[in-house]
Amino acid sequence: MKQLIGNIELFNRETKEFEPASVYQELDTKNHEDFERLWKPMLTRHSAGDVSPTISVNAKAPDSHWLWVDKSQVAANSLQYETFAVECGGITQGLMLVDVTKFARLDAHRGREMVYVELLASAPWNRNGFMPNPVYKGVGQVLVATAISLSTDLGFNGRIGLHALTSSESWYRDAIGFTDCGYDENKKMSYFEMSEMQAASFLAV
Amino acid sequence: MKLIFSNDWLKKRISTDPDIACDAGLSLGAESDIRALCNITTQDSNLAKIAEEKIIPLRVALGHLVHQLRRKESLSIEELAKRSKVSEDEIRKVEHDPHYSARPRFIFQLSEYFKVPLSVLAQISGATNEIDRTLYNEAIKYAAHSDDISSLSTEEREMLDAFITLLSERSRDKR
Repeated sequence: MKQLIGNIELFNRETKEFEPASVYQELDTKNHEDFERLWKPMLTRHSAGDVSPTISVNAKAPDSHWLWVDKSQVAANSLQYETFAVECGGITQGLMLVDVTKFARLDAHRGREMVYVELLASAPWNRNGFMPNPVYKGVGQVLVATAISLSTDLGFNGRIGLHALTSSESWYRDAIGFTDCGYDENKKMSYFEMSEMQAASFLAV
Repeated sequence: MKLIFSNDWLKKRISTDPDIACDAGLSLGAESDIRALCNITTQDSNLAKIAEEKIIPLRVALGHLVHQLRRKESLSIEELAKRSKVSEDEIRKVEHDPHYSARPRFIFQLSEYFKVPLSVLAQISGATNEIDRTLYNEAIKYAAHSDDISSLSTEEREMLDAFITLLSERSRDKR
């Protein structure tokens, strides 16, 4: 069942004000409808005349679509996955799907449990590559911090990992402080991991 | 779960956050992908909503099941914790405290280790909103006939095996 796990604020670039927002664990029909009515049309239009490396790179991977379908269908009925949504202004602004059964690759924690982020996405109207004037800022920060919160709650001390889209690599490496573990031939993306120390440092700033 | 960051912390992070894309993982595909993510339950006439007071007996059944599966393999709590990659503390709580709600990862790891169908184990743990009626009744009967002795008697072993068979059958029936 969808649960409110925190009230936060996102920055509205248009009004230059912070606005109340909420973080939910598990998605529901409302999130699905927001995606269908609001996200998807923009994603589709952008892909049609696409020059941005954000969605199209991954969309061109031969089996990325089917992997997503496969995993998202499992998520709804599985204890292996957790889903999260960020809502602001009554609309879904961010989505995240994580797998809680993966293991760390960094030498410091190799083989230890961690939270693996299968998907982290901000709504298309919040992205620089999609809009000349993106709306909300902070969705990515919220979702990364939420993944660390889950990792801590599960006893993994904040360890998280993910594969970043090309256009996001510098954000994860330089802005957030992940370790760039290099290009993963299997996933066709670079793999990033955050250690316990890096998670603690991220939350302390 | 709780978020371990404050709003003030977040606002500071946002104020210095560069305007760079933050997307990670698989790309968003068809509408059906997100729909599958959402918690949209389907109608099943044999499913019953679990009233809060009925979860306790279910957790008693879960505790007995975990306890007996562990003893069947002659494992200490420490050994089971190591092999199934869960915490000793959680094993103890699940086995002895029916007011304790087992965490999703614990259920998943034990399902993998003992090869018990995840969907039925999740129902017995009280983690789902609904439970198969037959499964519920059998779980209660199983818990009522289980005793906490140091080694499994032949009768206990037969009862445990019968319950595991039932769990597998209920899992197959749902597909």
